[in-house]
Amino acid sequence: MGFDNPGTGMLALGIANVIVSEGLSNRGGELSGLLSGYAIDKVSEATGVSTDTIRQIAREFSSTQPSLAIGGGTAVTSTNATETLIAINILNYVAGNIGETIDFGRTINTDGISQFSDILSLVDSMSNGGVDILMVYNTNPVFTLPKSAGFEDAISKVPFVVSFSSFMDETTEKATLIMPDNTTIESWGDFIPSTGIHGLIQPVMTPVFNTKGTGDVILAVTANIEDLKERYKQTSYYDYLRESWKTAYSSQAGLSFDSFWNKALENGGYYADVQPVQVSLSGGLSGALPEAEFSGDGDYFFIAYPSYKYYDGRGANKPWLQELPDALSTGVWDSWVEVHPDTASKLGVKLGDFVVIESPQGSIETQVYPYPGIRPDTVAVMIGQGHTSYGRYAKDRGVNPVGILPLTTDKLSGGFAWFTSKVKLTKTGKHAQFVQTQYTTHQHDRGIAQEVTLTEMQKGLPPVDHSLPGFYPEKEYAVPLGNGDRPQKCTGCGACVTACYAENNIPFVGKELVAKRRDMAWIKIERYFEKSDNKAGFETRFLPMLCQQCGNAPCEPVCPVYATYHNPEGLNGMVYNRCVGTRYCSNNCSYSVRKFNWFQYKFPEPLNWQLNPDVTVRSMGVMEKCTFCVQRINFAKDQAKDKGRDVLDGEVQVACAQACGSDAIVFGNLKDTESKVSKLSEDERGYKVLQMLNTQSSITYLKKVKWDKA
Amino acid sequence: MSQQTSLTYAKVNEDVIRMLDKPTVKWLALFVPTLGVVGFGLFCFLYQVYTGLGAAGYRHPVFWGVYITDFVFWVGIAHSGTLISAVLYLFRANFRLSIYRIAEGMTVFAVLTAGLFPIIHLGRPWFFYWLFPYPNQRELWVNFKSPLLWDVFAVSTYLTVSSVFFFVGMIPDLAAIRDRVTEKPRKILYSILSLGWKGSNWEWLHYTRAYLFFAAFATPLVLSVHSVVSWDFAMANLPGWHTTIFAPYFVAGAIFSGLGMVITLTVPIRKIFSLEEYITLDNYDGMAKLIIVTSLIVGYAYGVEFFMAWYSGNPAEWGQFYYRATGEYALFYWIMVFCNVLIPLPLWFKSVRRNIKALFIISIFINIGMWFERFNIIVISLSRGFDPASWGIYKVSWVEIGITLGSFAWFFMFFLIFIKTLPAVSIAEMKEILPVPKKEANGHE
Repeated sequence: MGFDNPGTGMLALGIANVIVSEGLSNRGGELSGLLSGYAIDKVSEATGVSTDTIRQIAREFSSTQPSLAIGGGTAVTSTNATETLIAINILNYVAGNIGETIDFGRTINTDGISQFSDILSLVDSMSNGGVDILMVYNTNPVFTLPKSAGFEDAISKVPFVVSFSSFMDETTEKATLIMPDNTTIESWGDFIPSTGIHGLIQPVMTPVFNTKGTGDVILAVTANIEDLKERYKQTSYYDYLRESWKTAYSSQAGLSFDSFWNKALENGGYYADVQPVQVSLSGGLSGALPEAEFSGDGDYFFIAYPSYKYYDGRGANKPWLQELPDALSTGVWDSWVEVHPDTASKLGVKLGDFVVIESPQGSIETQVYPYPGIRPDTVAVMIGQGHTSYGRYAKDRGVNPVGILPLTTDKLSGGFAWFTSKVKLTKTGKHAQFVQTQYTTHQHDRGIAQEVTLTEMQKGLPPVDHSLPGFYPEKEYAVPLGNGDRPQKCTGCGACVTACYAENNIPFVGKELVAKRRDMAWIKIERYFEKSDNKAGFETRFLPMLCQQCGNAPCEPVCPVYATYHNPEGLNGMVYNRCVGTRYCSNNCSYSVRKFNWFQYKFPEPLNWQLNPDVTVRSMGVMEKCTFCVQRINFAKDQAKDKGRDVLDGEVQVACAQACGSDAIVFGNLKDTESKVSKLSEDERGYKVLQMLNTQSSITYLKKVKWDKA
Repeated sequence: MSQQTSLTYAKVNEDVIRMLDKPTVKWLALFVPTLGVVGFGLFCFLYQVYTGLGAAGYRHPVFWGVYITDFVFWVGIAHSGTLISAVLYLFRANFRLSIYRIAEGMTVFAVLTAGLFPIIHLGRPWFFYWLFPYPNQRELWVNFKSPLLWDVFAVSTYLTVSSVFFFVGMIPDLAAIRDRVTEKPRKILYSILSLGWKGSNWEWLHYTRAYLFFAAFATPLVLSVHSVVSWDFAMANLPGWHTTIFAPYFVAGAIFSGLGMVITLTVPIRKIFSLEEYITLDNYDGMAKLIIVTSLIVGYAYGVEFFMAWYSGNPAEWGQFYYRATGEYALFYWIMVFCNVLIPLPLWFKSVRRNIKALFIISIFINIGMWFERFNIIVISLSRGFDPASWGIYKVSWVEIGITLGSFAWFFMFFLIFIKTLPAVSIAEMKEILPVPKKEANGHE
């Protein structure tokens, strides 16, 4: 959370000013009036970024093409959010990015979206008794609105509240009538996220429970209302949806509607080409960027940021997400407040101590996570926890920081401004173990997550021979499978971890057992804070760690019963029903990636529905570990055999690689010299983790490249 | 044994067989609580089998803990028995005479205790027999590359050989008891156990030969069994385990801890059964000297481990040893150094070696120190392996404490039964060193 707020907009204009005044770009002359107010010294003083850094950024930003400045995140959630975005786009304009990296043709679709002020006036009329019936669909305002908005009181004044939620959330609890909707994976639907994209949603399973899609409910109800009887011809939402897609179809030539529909189903929607829109600066922009306004008399700026796992709280009832370690703190199943270590020592608190965060609107109590990446004058709490309802996995877990936010809006857009309060922090003297999955932040010279600088890369890296001389004869495998991991691309999000849980029937174990380090994840994201010469003094490195399927596996020879063995494809097989549970394999695994079934884990109803029928559910007392999704490999081999050919490159995707949004994990056949993974593993940045042990790991990691150019 | 002894052949018989009299209240007061603790240990084990191994305190990446510590501890205890009875027999070291039977008993019972732990620690203990290479329909075989399998053979061999040696050495004494007891059931029992021993010259001739062979056969086991146990660790690649000094280091440690346990056991027995004339200060003096030697070897191993970790330049290796002395487990590490290196130092003085109270206290410290040595090697090494992201701390659970206490009770249960049913001091061998009695007119010996 290291943002230069409240000066982000200022910094952007300062950089733009340097670009214009130094003549680094041929644009922006007409803005000199505006930009002259952002002299480099003034910007430097206000933001704390040195003049040298600003100058360096300006030069690199304008000389490197293509370039793009993105506004978003915490930086644009204050009272001056819109102005900040304008400032950032002025920087883009000055650098010549409009029409290059920025396309105004495809814009976010805001049709039918209410303003924040609409919500507030709804709350007003609700509390004045002006609302007779309130229907709540796909939202949970009791939880997601600040307490000061008064929604909770207002809803009790509404005589008839209908909730269409699939889950018993805080708002649904207050409803008069609950019409449980199908979940997203059980429903039909469509959406238009931005111009030209018509997404089509189809169910992947029949509804598990006795639920009815909200569309169907509305159709059924209107058919029984005298005045509305004739409004819809269709009796099912599916028919309605299909009918409504005829509008999009009308623009298609040469396709029957049926084939158009089927194609849209196959592709997940219909994607129209959008012509870029030419824009020009209206000129005459002047005046000064307003400063962000903060309320509250505390010492610390307070950031409540949406969780990438729970978003606004809707993800909190999923045990997979609760058990997924946070990318930075590696915390699970709870909330915490990020505090700079200096601030923490000033307050006399350490990891796991409880503090009270107090704003004029209320207070919350949570554990401290000292994090060197946050500013010493700022504290941050993730949104999403702190449910008082919403099912067994979400209820009574962590705190909801939204509750203590003031009701402030962005001056220009009228949207809710999240980052506007200053809070007090008070030590409570209570302490509990902060439950996380990684207790170290340093690599202790083990060279797990390696790095090269760009300069070193340009000079050329010495070729590395990954094969150390061995005592035993080389083994030959029919299809040596390998993985290429690119920590450079890894954002630490952990989608691979959850994908692996889903694919391989990995049980979640809950906070109490994670506290005992008994989580069952087959793949984990190791995160290290490496010393760096940047302002924060460190940089974060992520590294997905999973079974390395070693050619010379330390786990194999120590098993007394051959429960783990080398299969002909070079995988380390694990025979669950042969395992007696000596756990020696795990002790000898240099990568510590084996997990043990300490108990007979359960998949309580309805989570048993998520089990993958292709994968064995393991029983108490046996070891388990990553199999490189052997069930997928076997399936692809069977398919290829039926078709009389070899398995094609990319035909088998392991679950972690499939889920990775940034394509950091690549899987394939190392013996096929043309495969993507073979080529990647030959990359000069390639290295094996703990290579000196000569485990002949089949996973090649590519060193992270560090930007060190002046 | 000095020549000024008041012992006679008759007194030896009487003294030893007196120990086998009907259980006294004192004995029962020890035995009944012992059975209770064994019962509690059994309960803990059954609870663990029912709930899963999660009932123990294991935390990733520490997958071995108290159970394997107990296993190595008990195997170590077992060692002195064979050392005293077999090795010292071959060297004709007479100070072994009075204590060797107790030491041998200790060996057998300690192996019986140790052998439980590899089963207790299994994830699926009901499949323990899969570790044996037996022909089966599914044509499954065991992995002879695995040190755990070597363990299976080492421990079962050791149990067999030490039991046979224990029993064979007892045959003449069992015959002596047979001749003394009057109650019918005991008479029958000892008649069977003594295998019809008559004490003829011919029998003695073959017996002493056989005993010598057994001693020679058992001697290599003193070195091999604990070497194999040490390879459970040394064969792994984990920093703190993967080292070539483990075999001699473990053997020395085993003898060290075994001698400690012999003293801990014999001091109360000597007192309770008034065996001062049998187990003499000379005997203790001899054992104390061996303790000094083995303590020095163990202390040297502690030092050289540190040196090698530093000298290797391997960050994982050095990180491990630095952590042992300074990390979360540092207290355990320094308890180990204090008990095993510093506490035995006063034994350099003859006055301490001949002071029963001092010896008893030192022996208790040695038992504690050697338990922690195994704990440190196993748990601290596992806590900090190669991959820092997975480092974690192990915390012992009540189930493990219950089973460990149960194992001590299990051991003492056998021991208490032993001193009430079998001759705790060798009658026959004691007589070898006594002056030959003069025949007297009234026909008494």
